[in-house]
Amino acid sequence: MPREPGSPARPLLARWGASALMPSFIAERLSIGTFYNPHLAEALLSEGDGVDHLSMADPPAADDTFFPTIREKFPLLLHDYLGQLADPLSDHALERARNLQQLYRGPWIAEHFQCLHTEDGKYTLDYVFPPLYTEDFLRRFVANTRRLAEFVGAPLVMENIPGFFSVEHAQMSEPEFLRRFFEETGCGFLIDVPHLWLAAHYQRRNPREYIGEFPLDKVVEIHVGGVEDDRDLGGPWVAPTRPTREILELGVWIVERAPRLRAVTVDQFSPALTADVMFESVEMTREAFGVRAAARKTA
Amino acid sequence: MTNRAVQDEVIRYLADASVRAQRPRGAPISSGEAAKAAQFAHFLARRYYRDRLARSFRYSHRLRMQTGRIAEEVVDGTEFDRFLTECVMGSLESAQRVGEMARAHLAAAPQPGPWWPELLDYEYAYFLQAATSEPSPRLEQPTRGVSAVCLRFTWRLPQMLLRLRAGVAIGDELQQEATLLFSRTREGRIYVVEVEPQLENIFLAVDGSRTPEQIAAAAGVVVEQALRALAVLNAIGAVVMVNPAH
Repeated sequence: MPREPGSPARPLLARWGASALMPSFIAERLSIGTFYNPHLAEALLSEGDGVDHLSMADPPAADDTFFPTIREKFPLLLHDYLGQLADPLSDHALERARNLQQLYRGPWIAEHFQCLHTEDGKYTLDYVFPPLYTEDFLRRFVANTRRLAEFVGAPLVMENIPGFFSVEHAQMSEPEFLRRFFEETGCGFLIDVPHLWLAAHYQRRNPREYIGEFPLDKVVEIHVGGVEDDRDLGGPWVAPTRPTREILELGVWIVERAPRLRAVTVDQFSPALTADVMFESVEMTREAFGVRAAARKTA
Repeated sequence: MTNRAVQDEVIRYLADASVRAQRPRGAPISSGEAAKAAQFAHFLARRYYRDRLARSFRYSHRLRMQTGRIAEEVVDGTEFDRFLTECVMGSLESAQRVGEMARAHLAAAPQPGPWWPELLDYEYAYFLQAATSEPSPRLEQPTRGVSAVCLRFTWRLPQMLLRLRAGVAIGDELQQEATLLFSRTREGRIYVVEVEPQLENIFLAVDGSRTPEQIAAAAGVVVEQALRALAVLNAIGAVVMVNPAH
């Protein structure tokens, strides 16, 4: 059996309720946010006025006493592991996704173009990993995504995932796979710039030319972030560090080609992340995208 | 072979070092990409076990100023490099090997207290749950969860952990026996629960071949009691039952 997404969300919903007052997502300009790292909750509450929104990679822990106040102060985006859309989601996974969205009530929910565990559930990579770009996988992603979006009742954005090596059997390029997927489903594109920069780097491509092949007109949200050398890969990979100047510049270049864009999120989710790095990264992103911090309206 | 089956082959290739050893140039990874795929497999495994060690050995991590060591350090050692060429990510056997590396690494540190070895046993058992995603076999009769384990401690671990979290000294008054059952559900939720001797006996009587009636007899309880206990153990992943309402 396939691995199921993690802890059930229903108790969380029961604990914190679904109808508390929550701030609205910014509509009049780009929203600049980051991920919710629970160990930095106190810093976010005391110094986080420059953070417009928070992406939720995990459900709040049962002993997270800061979360109720976080939810009252920041608009939240569901960015959890909802399930592997290469396969049909179980009833449990669908129910969990709907409960999480009822808890966060963001303007959209996110998933990834990934296929990381075997159908029998015996092997898992426990890390984002792209599917084969084939007609069969396109059909599977389209069908399973429609079911998820319908069940949850919220728009869905999908994030691109880089490959480190190439696999035979691909029938189309990643940009073509994504373009056709977005056209068939109407989903938005969550474009992860470090992922594309890495893919271009390892394919020895010019990043701007490479990114230009993707359906930028579908972009709703941008992820920016940092990269660091990894000993096993012998080169750069995503890391919870400050976004590089080149990645921020690529993000700004995408803005000019993305009329539906609403949010930029600094993709940093790690227990090792410090408050200084988190706030500096958000500030660097604000400056790069020309967005000034606004006074926060509390609920 | 379907596209989905090909994808499964790729995942197996990355997760299981023995598959890579048998087919260094096997489909669907072309010979030109095999070295890069192996690099990526090592990256995945090192990342996976570093993360699980950090989550599981978090109380010993709090004592790093006294011990000078943390569990995650083992993933940067030469023994771990050898392990990368043999491991199956998510298997119980791999979790046991990495857990033993961490326990031995920390056991060699200056002991912050006489309870130190038991704290390491607790964290090792927790790590087995966190790092084992291998599904449990689904047999006709109740069987134990693949990583589920029951351990007897001479220190009251639950209270000890609270004190470690609060930075409070651990006194001899906590030197009392406690039996803890560690388990993981199919959804990946980890449970550590204190169990009475009767529940421990029922858990230990489960072997994949005994019927609930035989489990009850082996544990010295009536069948109704055994069935209720098995349902509880099934809910926390300590026991796997094809038909929980047996």
